Amino acid sequence: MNKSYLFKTKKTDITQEVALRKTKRRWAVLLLCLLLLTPTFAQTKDTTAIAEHQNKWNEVLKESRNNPAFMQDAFNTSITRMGINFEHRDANRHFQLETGNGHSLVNARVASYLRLDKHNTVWGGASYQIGKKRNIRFNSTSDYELLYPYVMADTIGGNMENEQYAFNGGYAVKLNQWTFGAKLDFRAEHEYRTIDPRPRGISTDITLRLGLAYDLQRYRLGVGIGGHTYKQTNNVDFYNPLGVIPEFHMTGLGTDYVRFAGAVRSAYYKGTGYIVDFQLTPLQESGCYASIEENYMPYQNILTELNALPISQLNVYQTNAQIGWKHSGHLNWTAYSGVNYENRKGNEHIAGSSSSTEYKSLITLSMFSNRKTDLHIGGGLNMGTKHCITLDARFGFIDEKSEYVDLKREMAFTKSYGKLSGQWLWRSNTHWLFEWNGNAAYYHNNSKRIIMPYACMDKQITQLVNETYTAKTEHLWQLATQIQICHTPEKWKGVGLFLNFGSEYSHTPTIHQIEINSSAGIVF
Amino acid sequence: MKQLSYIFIVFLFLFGAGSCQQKNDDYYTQAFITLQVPDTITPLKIQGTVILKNLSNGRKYATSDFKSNTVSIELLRGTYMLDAEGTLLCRMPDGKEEVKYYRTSKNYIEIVEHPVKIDTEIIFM
Repeated sequence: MNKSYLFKTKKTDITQEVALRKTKRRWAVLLLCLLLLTPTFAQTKDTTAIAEHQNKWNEVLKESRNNPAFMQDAFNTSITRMGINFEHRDANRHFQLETGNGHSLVNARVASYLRLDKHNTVWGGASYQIGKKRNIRFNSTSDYELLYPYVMADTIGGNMENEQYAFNGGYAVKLNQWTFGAKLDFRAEHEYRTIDPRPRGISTDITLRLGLAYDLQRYRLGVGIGGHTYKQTNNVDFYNPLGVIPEFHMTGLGTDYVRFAGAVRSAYYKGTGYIVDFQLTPLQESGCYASIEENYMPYQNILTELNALPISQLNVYQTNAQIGWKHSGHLNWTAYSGVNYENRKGNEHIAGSSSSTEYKSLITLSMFSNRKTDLHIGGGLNMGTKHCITLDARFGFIDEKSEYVDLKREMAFTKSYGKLSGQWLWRSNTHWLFEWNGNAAYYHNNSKRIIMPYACMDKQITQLVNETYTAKTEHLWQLATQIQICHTPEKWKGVGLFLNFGSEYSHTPTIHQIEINSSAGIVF
Repeated sequence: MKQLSYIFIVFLFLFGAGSCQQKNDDYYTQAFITLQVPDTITPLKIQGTVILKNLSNGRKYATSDFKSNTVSIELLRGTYMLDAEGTLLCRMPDGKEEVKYYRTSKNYIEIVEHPVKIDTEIIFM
């Protein structure tokens, strides 16, 4: 049975966009003012709060805090951080052609965690980012990591200007044995290029999560549900009528939807998904902890110019699970194992003949799939108070496979990895805090396989596929270091300054990438 | 603690089951393409090549294996463009046998059912 999809097309003109941006800025400023004016419980006048919130030992139960009910007593102290962050990344070659080989981003952000009293907690943040992403190839769509492989692409590429607003907020309340929490995350992003070809992507991303927890004997059990909705409008313009090149609608591993390649240069993406989670944490300092979270998110790719014809649907399933044991005493330690699994299934809608103004969607074929599994075990140690040292080691196995059905294409590899990280927190007195973080990771490629119909692939697509395969299957080293200094002068009555500098170096036999970031601001 | 472990395992299975969704894996079908000859002449032997081009991915399927004036081919379901050309040995109304060049094309055909039968009239060149 043939189905017709009849959609209303929407166009946002420039005036409406400017009004929308102004509205978002007003909400971000309002949230900032609310956070700054809210009186709080347990707000310390020295570096005690900073030490607690920065301590990596408190990240042992980080996964459970995705459930908003578990944020109620995540920390004993309140803190607000406001500052400017600068991040610069540069590589000689691409790790992923579609995301570029570097970026320079400046971000102003505020984040707050406030214990209003023993039962009520609020948290939130707002940020504004501008910058540039460099040398993006074969991708004219924003949020590539969310939407791949169904992006628009051309053979020229270039740099992209980036502007992003984000804010989040949450509230949790504890009543006897029960804890209830809710949180909202919002992101709006605008990316564009100022020379031909001129892609433009405007995306909005909203996540709402609710959580409920119950204190049973020595443990807290929690369940959570959430909804996630996403939209992006994406188009490519050419101001020079003589320089128009075709845009391709990619369908995975170098394939594209040939029928609509060329002059169809507008698309929009939309999707609404769900999140479900289960959490278990110990109420005392020692005990078992467990976290499972499942996400399902479908993304539909719709061609605006063809009377809103949907050409593909991407279904993304993610499962993140972790179980471990935490012991607190003279020496704190934890041991855990976990799995992160993502399954991406791409369905192509085969369009029928166009009659009058609509294309019928005849059948749907599941042509693309990508599966990523990360199994790992790890452990951590924490000791000291004035000199607080936290060490973490993690060892794992990664298995990734991408397939396209016809003509058969496949890219697969397996890796083993080891990660070591360390943190040293030193409070020289209550008004100074020094922090050093170091990380080292090695990803060893165990096996790899590629199947491609090279005989019928053109030169550009062959280059895309081969460079992607090389970057994904090389052995990778990563080294990172970060230092932070915080000072809360006595005269400033709880307001302090922080300065942070970090860098990360990534190395494969063909790719060398350096990333530096620095931030400065106030904390109170 | 034992009860908690059981609850955890049940949730793990539920979450694992959640990632199973219907897969649209009915990919291929058999297509029978019949070249129709005008009633006034009798086809004796036909040869040539039938090419089907998938409109979605641009891939071409070709076959020259005629059984009478029909070819069969297994291909990916979807929408296609058809082109065929070759030679036909036929008997004319006056009894004479002639070899004629023929061709035919269709710019849109739907190959989705199981199987698909397509008839197309040839023209002589």
